[in-house]
Amino acid sequence: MDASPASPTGITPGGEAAAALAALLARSSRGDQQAFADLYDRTRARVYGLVKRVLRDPAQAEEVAQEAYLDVWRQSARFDPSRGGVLAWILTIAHRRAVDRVRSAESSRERDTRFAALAEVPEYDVVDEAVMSSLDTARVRKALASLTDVQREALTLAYYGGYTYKEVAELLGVPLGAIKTRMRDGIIRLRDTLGVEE
Amino acid sequence: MTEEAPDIHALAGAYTLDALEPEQAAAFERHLESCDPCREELRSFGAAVAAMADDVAVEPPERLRASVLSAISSVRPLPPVVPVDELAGRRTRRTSAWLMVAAAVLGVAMIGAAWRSVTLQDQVTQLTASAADLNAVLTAPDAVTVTGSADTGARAAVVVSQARGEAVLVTEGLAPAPAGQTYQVWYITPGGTMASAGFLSQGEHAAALLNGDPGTAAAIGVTLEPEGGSAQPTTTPVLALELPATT
Repeated sequence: MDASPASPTGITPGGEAAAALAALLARSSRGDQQAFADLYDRTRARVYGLVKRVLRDPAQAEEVAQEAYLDVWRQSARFDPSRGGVLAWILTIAHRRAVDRVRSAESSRERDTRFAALAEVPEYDVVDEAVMSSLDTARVRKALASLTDVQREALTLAYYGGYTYKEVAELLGVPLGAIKTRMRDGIIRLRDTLGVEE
Repeated sequence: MTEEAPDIHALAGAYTLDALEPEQAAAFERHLESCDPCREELRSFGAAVAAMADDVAVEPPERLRASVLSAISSVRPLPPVVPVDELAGRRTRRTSAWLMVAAAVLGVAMIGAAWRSVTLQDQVTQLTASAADLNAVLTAPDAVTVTGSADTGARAAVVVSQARGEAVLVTEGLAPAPAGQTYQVWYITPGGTMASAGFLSQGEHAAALLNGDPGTAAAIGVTLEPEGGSAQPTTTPVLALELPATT
């Protein structure tokens, strides 16, 4: 990676924004519901958007997002900053719940439908400008575009589509061992292009 | 414990994307405890993957805010994880009480502080491990016990020895599983991943050495599953116990 990391504006908030989220989470862990409401407002578009992207169904997405936030509230005192930032932690909780939902509830036929939907032109949903600037979105898209096709598809099928790496390997016709490496290399490249560490 | 696959370090990517199957995810989490480079990599991966959420962000319906805030208002956040030392005394006492129950289950007589093996009772013939294996966990110097009860009145204790990487589940008064069904035990990671920890024998009293290392599991759950078990829980847990956090 010879390119110097881009300036840390916005994306997965660094600096002040990350510190603000950490402070809100700490207050939440002491039972401060107002702080949690604030935390919700600062993360809701990413959490709901991600969950909806995986599940597709808005009603289920609402349910799962609510479960995820309840989990965040319950676990708030157990957040471990040595493992990463607050936003990444919240998104991990939400993503796992969404993935669990699709994997437990879904027949193979529904999966096919979901894959077809995923393969269509990506939907560009309306984004709350207060939550993020279009610059951030553009940076992420540009970073994703810098990956090889297989890396990018492996990441989007797994993260946005909720597929296991074995399913991704099958969908892309790539050997199992190779797909693990593509995923890892893809994330490393994404990380270095975005210049995010936490 | 099984040998780790040689390419386990390569799993950090798939793990971050939640693309591993439950058993692999659990194995990778165990691996993380002893692999600094993987832990560091995972930390930076989390942020990179989280950025992908920026690209799909969308405003939720207004009502979600109200329902989330209403839901949390009736739930108390879990207490923080306290360093083990401060709780050692309390845990030891609680462990002792449940050792008595376990002793009754096993038909093991306790004389003074010493354990002596007697014969196993009929009711525990289905145990997946020998009494000696169970005893080793129950009497491990670092054994920590967590107890709980189900709505039905059944009681349970789980004894964890991190040093041995083993856990024992003891139950009392659990109703026999309906015909064609079986009680299956699950390790639940902090992230909510479930991994099967084996099956519970039937009977008024039962004790079982769980499959696999409790590792960083945050809780164990027991569900009724079709005979032969399920890859993932298909019913609501009849019992759930939160485990003490590892340090």
